[in-house]
Formats: sequence, structure tokens, C-alpha cells
Amino acid sequence: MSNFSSQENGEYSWTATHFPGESTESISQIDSGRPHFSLGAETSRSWSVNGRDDHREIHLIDSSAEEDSLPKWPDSRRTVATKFAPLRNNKLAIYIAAKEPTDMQVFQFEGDTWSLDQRIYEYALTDINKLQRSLYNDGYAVFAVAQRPPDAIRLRSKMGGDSVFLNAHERAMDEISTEYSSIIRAHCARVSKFPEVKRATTDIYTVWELCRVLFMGSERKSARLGSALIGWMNECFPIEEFSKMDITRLRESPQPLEEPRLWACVQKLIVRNNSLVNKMLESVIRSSEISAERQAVEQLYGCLNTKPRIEQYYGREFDYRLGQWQKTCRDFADSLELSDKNTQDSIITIVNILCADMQTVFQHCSSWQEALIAWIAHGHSNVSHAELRELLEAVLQTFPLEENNYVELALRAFLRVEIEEGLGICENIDIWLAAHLADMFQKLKFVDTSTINDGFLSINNIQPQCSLREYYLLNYAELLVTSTSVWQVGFEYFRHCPLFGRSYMQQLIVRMPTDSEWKTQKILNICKVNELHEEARIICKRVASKHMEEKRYASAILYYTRAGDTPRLTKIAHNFLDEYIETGELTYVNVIDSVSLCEKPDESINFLAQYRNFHELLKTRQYRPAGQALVDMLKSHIAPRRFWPILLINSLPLLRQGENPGEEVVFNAEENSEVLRILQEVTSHHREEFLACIEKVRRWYKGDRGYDEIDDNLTVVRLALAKNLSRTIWH
Amino acid sequence: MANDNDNIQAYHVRGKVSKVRFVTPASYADGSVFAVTGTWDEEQDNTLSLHQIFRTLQPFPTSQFNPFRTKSVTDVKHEGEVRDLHFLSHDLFLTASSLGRINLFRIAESDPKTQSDTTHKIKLEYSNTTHGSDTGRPLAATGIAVEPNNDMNPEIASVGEDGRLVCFRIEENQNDIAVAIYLQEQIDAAVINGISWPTSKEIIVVTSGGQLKKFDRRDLRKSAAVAVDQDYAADSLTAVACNPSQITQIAVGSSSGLVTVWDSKNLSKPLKQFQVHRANGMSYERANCKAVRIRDRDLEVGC
Repeated sequence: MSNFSSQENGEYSWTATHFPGESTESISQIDSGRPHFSLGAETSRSWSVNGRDDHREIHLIDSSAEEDSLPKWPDSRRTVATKFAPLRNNKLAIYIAAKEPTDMQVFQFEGDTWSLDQRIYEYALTDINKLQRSLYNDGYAVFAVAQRPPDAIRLRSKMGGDSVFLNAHERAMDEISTEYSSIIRAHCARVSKFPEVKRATTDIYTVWELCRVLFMGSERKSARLGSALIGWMNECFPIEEFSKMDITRLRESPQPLEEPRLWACVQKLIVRNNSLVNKMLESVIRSSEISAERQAVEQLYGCLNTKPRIEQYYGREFDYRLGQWQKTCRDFADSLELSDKNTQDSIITIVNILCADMQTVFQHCSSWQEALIAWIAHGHSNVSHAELRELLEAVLQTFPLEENNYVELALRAFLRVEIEEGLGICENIDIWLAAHLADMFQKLKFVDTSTINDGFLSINNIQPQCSLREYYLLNYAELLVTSTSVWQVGFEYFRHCPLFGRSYMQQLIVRMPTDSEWKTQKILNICKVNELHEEARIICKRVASKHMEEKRYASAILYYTRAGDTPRLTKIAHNFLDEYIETGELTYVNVIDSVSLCEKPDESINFLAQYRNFHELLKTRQYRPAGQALVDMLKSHIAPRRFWPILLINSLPLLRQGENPGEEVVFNAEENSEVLRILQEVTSHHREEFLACIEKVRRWYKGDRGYDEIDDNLTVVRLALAKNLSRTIWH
Repeated sequence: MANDNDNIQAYHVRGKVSKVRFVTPASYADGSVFAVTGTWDEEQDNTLSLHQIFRTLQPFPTSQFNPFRTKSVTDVKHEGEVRDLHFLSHDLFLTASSLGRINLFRIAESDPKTQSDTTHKIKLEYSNTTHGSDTGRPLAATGIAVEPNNDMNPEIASVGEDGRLVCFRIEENQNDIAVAIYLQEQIDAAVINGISWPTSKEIIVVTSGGQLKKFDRRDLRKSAAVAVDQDYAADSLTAVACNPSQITQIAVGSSSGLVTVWDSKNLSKPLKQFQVHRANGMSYERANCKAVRIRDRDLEVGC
């Protein structure tokens, strides 16, 4: 590890610290030793560090570094350093270099004692909750459809209802936003057993649904924005004071009017504009005896049912009808004379809420969201985006929101139509949310494709030239790539980032761990699809050299071939040929048999295959084809020159074949002269190389085959060639 | 938004699934079937999961009606990625792990006396390292095949990224079950990605060197035949499956998404070829599953 810093007064060997092997390799060993960082697992590796005059061991520690243990080392004598794991995107090792004070407490770990400077800590930069992965994975399927042109998105719904307000593109986006909603909802149901993840998913859903209602759905263009917001409120913020059970119990009570919490519940339901209130009142009427109270409840029920609905009237007629209805309600309240003052007050309160008396409404609300929705429900059914903003500011003066609650901040920002700020806050809730909202907002032209406002710049302290959509998508995809198992989805997202997606891919793909053949193939496939040829070459070379280390030559050849690394292939081939020169054994038969050569194979590997084929022919006594193969190898110069003497010696059995009576002559005159020419060239022009080769061959050749001694001029071959020539002439 | 595959019912299971196999039913009496899934790419959290699939009957099925209901029964940790899964009987199955191990698991019904909330359990019965490099690093076991037409005590072969073929048998005594390895042969110098055993004499493997190799079981030292698709010689072959009704037909999947069908009697040239995957699709799929599908549909590509 080369960047351990030097300690001037250190007596130990930190200046010379060097892990066995090459520096980057050490960390990768740490990694492969403990590919998954978890607390409490066993420590798997330790290293010896040999220095000038000391011998120390380094250990990989599985627990986190304790903040308060560090100050024990004087600042002037310690350095904390980090190093990224070379083949991981999110792993880094942290180590402390210093001279250990003598009174330093030693660290106990499973019986072993190591001091602070003997420890290396491993961290993961990012960590995705594994349970959230299915949301991220499902989300991509919808995202991919959203990236198609609008006419290529198959729509499920027919044109109708509110859809008439939308054009084709908006309709597609409406459907896509609904699809996102349903996958978040489904995910929420799946993780219901895990409270923390469920809460996180519910937060995503709450923000997504609000954005869908405000900006993506058909409601925003029709008069139904108000009722859609009420629906959102009732779905995402269930009534806290009364659970569903409570409401059911009150409804089914034999004497509902006697229930102390009845009116509080009815008031809450009215504030929420929840339709359950009708059923509640019905059951009160049904189970009470005839009395003035019951009559009053019946009248209240009548009022509720005659409330004009926004869908029934156009424009100002609705306001007129609403005014009329409110007057009727007030008249009813004013004329109310009940013996039970509690009931009377409660009904008057309800009427006040129905008539949008803000003071009463706010008294019965417990949060700003509820107050806003109640105000919309009873006073501003036909609310528009602009009005919404005004209403929100008014509500927030009475109900301040929690400034450290990201969900509330995000909701406020979106209700104020401050989209860029909202996205910034969403990043803190879940980067998935920010990325997908940004994508939808850009498609619906709520955020500009190029300009980025000042707030955004100051948040990140950098000047990104890309759009908000791309910025968030890049951040999200980067997170995915660093995680296990969903890394492929991350690369898919990069494909949809026009400016920087490719450069991110280039940076990250080469750092993907290539632990197994499967994963390597997947990574190479991503390179192929995205035309990352140079990166694919780098990965192939790396995998190949790993195979080389393990002497798995066939796999090494396959990967070097893919990488187009001719020098390495040549080296492998020469190694095999050298082995033959040394021993006379074809050691690479299995290797070359396991590699199928493509149309244009590497020259040196091709020679290996041809030479192996030549021996196969020789073995099966197919002398004529074998002779042709030999001459071809010599003629085409495919054989490395230092191997020529071997080929010449290999020609001996073929030349002698013709000596046997009845056997045909293997080499014709032309081939004969070609072999002779090569022989001449080898023995005269490259004599030193030739002699070195012959020297090695002599060790195994004679003894094995019982042939004549090979001299420095290859006389046996010359003689055989001469005899062969005479026979070719004779024939 | 209409999904491209509206008639496919999906069900979320734990982790990133590499293999799924139906459990050979002991009886068809109760109408439910079981399936086992194995995961990969989960670092140290790879699992085997048992799922129960019920078929629900409804008098008037609608287009939205899903006739299947699936329930996750139990999970068990699996050392390494699950590369292959093979059922030997209704309760015994083998897995090939990326750590070079062959694992034998048993599905057992939980003892009703112990208050367990699952009806079944998956228990590891035996595990043995069979595949690794010469330097001792474990290399993935990639495939398992069982000798056909021998129900009594079939021979089992596994292959791995180390290029070895390992033959073994399950030896079951009264209290004990073990895997008895009796043959290990280096049959390829590159990586073997898949194995199929169509007849008792013939074993077929596919390699990362782009070769389909046919072996005679009686002599594994030398391949009986080698087939290479010259047009795609550089592609790694990733999966192999034999047509169960015509055992000479072999479907092979390659890393570039190409499925090639060969006649094992004549390996000079492929019978058919299909490009089954768009290269720009989501990359969770591999050629494997589609090759199997081809086998099931009798040489019709169904995608």
C-alpha cells in the first residue's frame, strides 16, 4: 500500500509498509476476502508487513472505527487515509498510519490483540435497503415505457371522463403516473411487515400521489382538482384520532346518540369530507327512537345530501347554488332548539364547518394538510393551482409545519408549485422519488430542459450543465450501480441520460467486480449494447490476466482474443512452443481443442491450432495431408522463426515415408525445394537462434525416437531432402 | 398503460432469481404444486425459497382474474449463487453453487408438534466441493444432469467453470445420506456452462469456447464429437437442453442471445437458428430459460 504516509519519528516500518504483492492488489484481496461488510462476522484475513527492522501484522476489522478511539493518538503523529477498492464501486478501505503510543490500549478481538495501527476498516459508501430493490426494479419497467414516444405507449383506458381535457402525450403521462402509483402501492403492501421500509415507501407514495394529482393526472385540467386533493388526503393521511375500528364501532352502536365520541367523529369526517359520514348519520337515524334530536340529525343528513357538487354546475352557477345551500343550512342551525345542548352545539358546529367558517374548521383540524383540505372541501371546491397557493399560505400561518420533516417540506414546495425546490427535498426522502418525478416533470414541461435555478446550484456547489432530470437520474443510477443485484438496472438508467450517461457508464463499468463467468458475461453484454468497446477490452484483458495467473490458458486465450490483445496471445503461443522445444511434448492440446477459432483468428493462436492439427494427422498416418500442412506452415511464415528448426525436424518422418517401398512420396519437387530453402535460411542467416534451439531439441529428440544425431547443419534433413528429390524426379 | 404481457401473472419472490424448478409431486391429491427458486448476485445472501402455488377456481373467470395464488413457504440460506437446481425425487434436490459446491437438500414437512409457522422446511443434507481451480480457488459448478432411464440409483454428473465433469451417486443409508464421487475428468480447458444427458451413453456439454461437445459416458477422456457454429465461433455458449420427445435435437443458447438447434447425429451444421432476445432489452434474462422453453414447445420459439 504505497500511500501510507511517512512518519518522520516513527520507529516502525510505516514508511516501508508494503503489503505482499502489488499495492492495489492488496485491497482487492481485502475485498475478495470479505466481499460483504457485516458486523460481527469473523475476520478472515491478515497480512504480515515486513519493514526495515520490524514485523507487524495488519488485520481487516469488521467493526466500524470508533470515533472516540482516534483522539488517543496525537494528531501530529497520525494520518487517516482511505483507498478505494479497485474492483468495487462503493467499497473503500480506511487505515490509520501512526506510531503507536506505548501506553496505548490494545484492541481485543476474539482473543487476539491488535493495536490501532494494525487495523484496516472496510466501508461501503452507499447502501440500498434490500427490501427497496423490488420497487427500484419494478419502477424501471414503467420508466422504460415512459421513455417511448407517446404514440408508442399502449394505453389501457379509452378516451373519456376527464381524459378529454388532455392531449395524447398528457394522457400517456397520466397513465404512466398512475402505473407508478400502483407499483408503489403494491410495494407498500409487500413490505408491510417491515415498519421502517413501509414508512419510507408510504412517504414516497404520499409525495408521488400529490404530484400526480397536481401535475400529472387529468384532474388538474378539470374542475376536479379539489376533490382529487381530498381523495389524496384521505388515502395518505388516515384520521389519527379515530381508527377504522372506532368508526365502525360507533356506527354499529345500539344507541349512537349516547356515545360520547359520536359528534367528535362526525365532525372529523365532515372536516375530511369523508363519505363515511353519511353512513354514520344513517345508522344514527336508524337506531334512535323518534325524538327532536333524531329529527335534527335527519335534517342534517338532508343538508349533507343536497350539497351542490362541482360536477353538476358550470362556472358561477355553482357559486350561486352553494350560497343558496349554505343559507338553508344556516337557517336550519338558527332554528335548532334541542333539549340536549351538547347535540345542539355539535350540530351547529357541523353546520359552521359546512358553511366554511374558517375559525371552526381550523379548530377541528390537527394538521396543516387537514386544514388545507377542509378549506378546499367546504369553501373552494373549484380550487385552481393559483388559489391553492394562497390557501396554503393562509393555513400555514395557523398551522406551522415541521421544518425538519422532509415529506412536509416537499408537500409544501409542490403545493406552492416550486418544483425545483421540491425535487431537491425529495432527494432526501428517496432518490428514486426525485429521479422519477424529475423525469415526469420534464416530460410534462414543468421544468426547463436546460436552465437550472440558483437554489439548485447552491445546493450542490457545482455547476452542472445538464437538466434537472438528468442530474437526478444520474444520481439515482449511480446509487443502483454501486449496489448488488440491481446494478444492471442502474446501467439501463444511464442509457436515458443523453449528456453524461455514457461517461458515467464508461467510468463505472470497468470497476464492476468480475467474480464469475456469469457476471462477466452480463457486464460484457452491457458494454456491447452500449457500444463501450474500449471498456469491454479493458474488462476482457483483466479477466484474461486473472485466468493466466491461475494457468487457465483456454479461458485466457478466449478473453485476450475478445480484447484483441495480440501481444499477449503471441506470448501465450510462444510459451507453449517453447515448452515443445524444451520437452518435445504438445502440452497445449487440451487448451487449443477447447478454443474454437473464428474466421480471422489471431495468427499465433492459429499456428498453435495448425501445428496441433499437423501432429494429429501424423498420428493418424495421414502423411500426404500432414506434409501439405507442414509446407503451408513454412510457406505462409505463420510459424515463428525460432520454431522453424522444429518444423524441419518434423519433416523427417514424412521425407522417410517415401523410402518405404510402395509408399507414395509426400513432398513433390516444389515442396521439397521450399523446405530446402527454409533449411538454408535457418542454418545460415539465423544460425545463433537455430543452434540454441537445436541444443534444446538434442536433449529429448534422439533418445525418444532413436533417430540419428542432429548435427549443427541438420545433415539428416538435408540428406532426406536430397533422397526425396531424387525420388520425385524418378517418379 | 397496457403491459406487453398482460396474460402473464407475476409474483414477487425474494432476491434475484437464477433458477426455478417445480417440485416433482409425491401425489396430485391436494391440487397445489410447489416450486423452488434459487437466487444469484446477492453476495452473501443467496437463498433457496419454496413456494406453494394454488389453483383457485372461480365460476366466471374474467380477463383480470388470476387463477393462481402463490405463497412463499420457506427460505433457506444458500452458500454461493444457485447455478443449477435439479430434483431427484419429490423431496430431494441438488443445487450447483458458484462456490464450486454440490449441495443436496431435502424438503421436509415440519413436525406439527414443534410450533413452527411454516408447513415445510428445506434442510441441507450434504455438501461437497467438487469444482475449483488448480490454485485452490473455488470455481462455480454450473450444471447438473442425471442419468436418464435409471430410476433406481442414477448416476449424476456435474460440470463447472473449471472444465471438469464430476460423476457421483447419492448413497442413502438408514440414517445417513452422502454423495459418493467416483470420477473427475477434465473434459475442457475453458469453462463449461451447461450439461445435458439425453441417453444413458451420451453426455453433451457446452463451453465458453463456443463448442458443443458430445461425450460417450464410457470414455470421458476424449470427446466423441465437437460442434462449432463457425459464424458465431467467438460467442460463449451458455445453456443446453435436449428435446425430450426427439432426443437427438439439442438446443443451445449463446451469450449473444442466439439459440441454435443441432442434430446430435450430425453435428456438421446446425438445424435451425433463432435470435430470441433483443439486444437492448432488460438484461435479467439469459439465453438459458429461453432454450428450455424451446425444448418445452417442441422447437417453437415463444417470444
